[in-house]
Amino acid sequence: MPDRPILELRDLQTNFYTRQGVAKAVDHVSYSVHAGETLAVVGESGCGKSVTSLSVLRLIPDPPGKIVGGSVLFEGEELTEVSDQRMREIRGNDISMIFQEPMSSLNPMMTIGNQISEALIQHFGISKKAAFQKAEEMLTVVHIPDAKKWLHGYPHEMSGGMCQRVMIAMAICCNPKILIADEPTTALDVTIQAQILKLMEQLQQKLNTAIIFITHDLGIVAEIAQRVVVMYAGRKVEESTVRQLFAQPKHPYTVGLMTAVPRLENFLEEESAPSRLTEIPGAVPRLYNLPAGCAFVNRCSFATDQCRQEKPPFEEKSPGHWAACWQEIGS
Amino acid sequence: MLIFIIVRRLIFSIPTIIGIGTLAFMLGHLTPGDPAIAALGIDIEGYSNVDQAEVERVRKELGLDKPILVQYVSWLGNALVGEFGRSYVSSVPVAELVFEALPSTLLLMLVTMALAVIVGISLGIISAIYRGRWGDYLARLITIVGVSTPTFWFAIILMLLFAFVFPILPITGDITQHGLKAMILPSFTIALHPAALIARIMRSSMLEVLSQEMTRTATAKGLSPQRIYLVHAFRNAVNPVITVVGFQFANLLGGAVAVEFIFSLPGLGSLLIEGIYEKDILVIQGAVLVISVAFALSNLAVDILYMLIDPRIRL
Repeated sequence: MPDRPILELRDLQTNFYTRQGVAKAVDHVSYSVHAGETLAVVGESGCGKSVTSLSVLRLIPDPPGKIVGGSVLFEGEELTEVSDQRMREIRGNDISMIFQEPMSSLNPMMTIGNQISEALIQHFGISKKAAFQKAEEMLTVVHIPDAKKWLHGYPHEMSGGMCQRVMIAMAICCNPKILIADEPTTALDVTIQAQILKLMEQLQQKLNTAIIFITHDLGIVAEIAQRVVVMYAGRKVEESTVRQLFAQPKHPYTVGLMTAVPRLENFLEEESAPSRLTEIPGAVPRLYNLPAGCAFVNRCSFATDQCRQEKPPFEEKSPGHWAACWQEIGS
Repeated sequence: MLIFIIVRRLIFSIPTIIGIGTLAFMLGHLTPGDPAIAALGIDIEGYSNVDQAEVERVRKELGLDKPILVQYVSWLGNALVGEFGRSYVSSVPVAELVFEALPSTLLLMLVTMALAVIVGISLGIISAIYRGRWGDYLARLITIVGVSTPTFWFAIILMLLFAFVFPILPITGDITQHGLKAMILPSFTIALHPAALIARIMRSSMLEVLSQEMTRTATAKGLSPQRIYLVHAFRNAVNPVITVVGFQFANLLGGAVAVEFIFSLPGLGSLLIEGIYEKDILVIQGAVLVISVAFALSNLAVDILYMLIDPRIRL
């Protein structure tokens, strides 16, 4: 990458202090994203990918959560240390976010128009009338028919897909430099998913926005992202370009994720007995009780004694392709 | 259309009000004692010396000799047009007595409710925002004391306090004597319990809304905490409080009956208690009916308020 990244996470650590103990939800995670680029963050539920992105905007509920170390640099500004006032100026304006559940992420008591325009009024100090005009424009941009009518509509009158478009309109109305999308299509139908992804792509081209796309769907990753970060149990286990990752995954967890994706070819090849989908055995370990060595060790078929005792370093396995694994996978 | 729904709800509340009227009528007649004797101004001790012929005459005059069903129909018919008969004791029309007492009670209720809602909601919001910190503990301590203090005891303590220690507020008497000052102690007394209850409900409802995803969305938009708490969270959290306020109207009316009497505030409560002492059936029936209708109407108002606040209920 030629220029300086617009957002850079360095050794970010976020802990949750629970009754069972301290859960290291984000454990020394680093990644960066450039303007106009799409970075995908992949992993199972509970692997820390959402918490990482929420930490960027300091949206972790405190208590029980707390950012305990590392840094988040946005255009060189240290976000973990700026004042609450400055943080509010950045939220929704420079960095905005789209969430997983569009229906419950909107305020049911407020009209769509009010919900979009309040961010505009907050950040640009424009009049309510001007904000509503802009809100109507934004609804048209996200392909909502009858935008003028919907300004006065409520979320419960819309479908899930429409709600997510409203969320996108809300997130991009202030022309953010970074858009964090936290599983924005998970709750939607497949056909609506494709529309939403296309919409985000168009907007990115128009505004040169950096997108951090959080998902557990590798199919989506292949479609929209340029680079991928794979997370497991609060740590980064692999990072590379999309092309390299799909060609030659270097971490057994990534391999597991890939074989768990259903493929049409597999079912067509064997006429009599279609191959079964493979799964990764077990589940993500409890974060407050991680094994001493590699966190994936108990689910890994390549595990050795070294894996059990020592944490693997995150190292460059081939140019531009990092992974945290003692074994040489796929080379 | 909102207007259409309101009219429909008004029509639906007519059977409720007729039902309430029936209950009020039965209540008057099921209480022990003979109203005809009471009307003669004779108390229980003098009962044996009563001239039976005289009692019969009064009973006939008041229509108490007719079958109960006939009495009921004629009473209900009259009540529906605001005619409750005349007091057996003072011969003043009951309607006049009731509507004379009504404004004072309504004012007391209004002041009390306003006090309870303002104090309760503020305490609840403070408690939720400062959860787990001293502001929350203080607010919760106040609400626990408020919920567990008996109203009559609190009334007496207030009277003692303001009669001897800080003689700055009147402890008896009505607005004609003291102006709005006369309402302060009675409304404080009645508001204590509902205010504490509202605070507790507001706190838990607010905490629930604050943990929802929409609050996170509002924060991610870069809104100020004031806007998040008072515009986004408050509107979503306030519905359970409205329900409680609606139910509290019944308690408040009950509380007003006792408290008006303790503070010698002339009102429906005082009228009702005097009516019970005098065995003045028509006064009791009239007062109970008006109090019940007020309760039914307040429930209607709560339903309408729901619709105004939550767009999802306008169906």
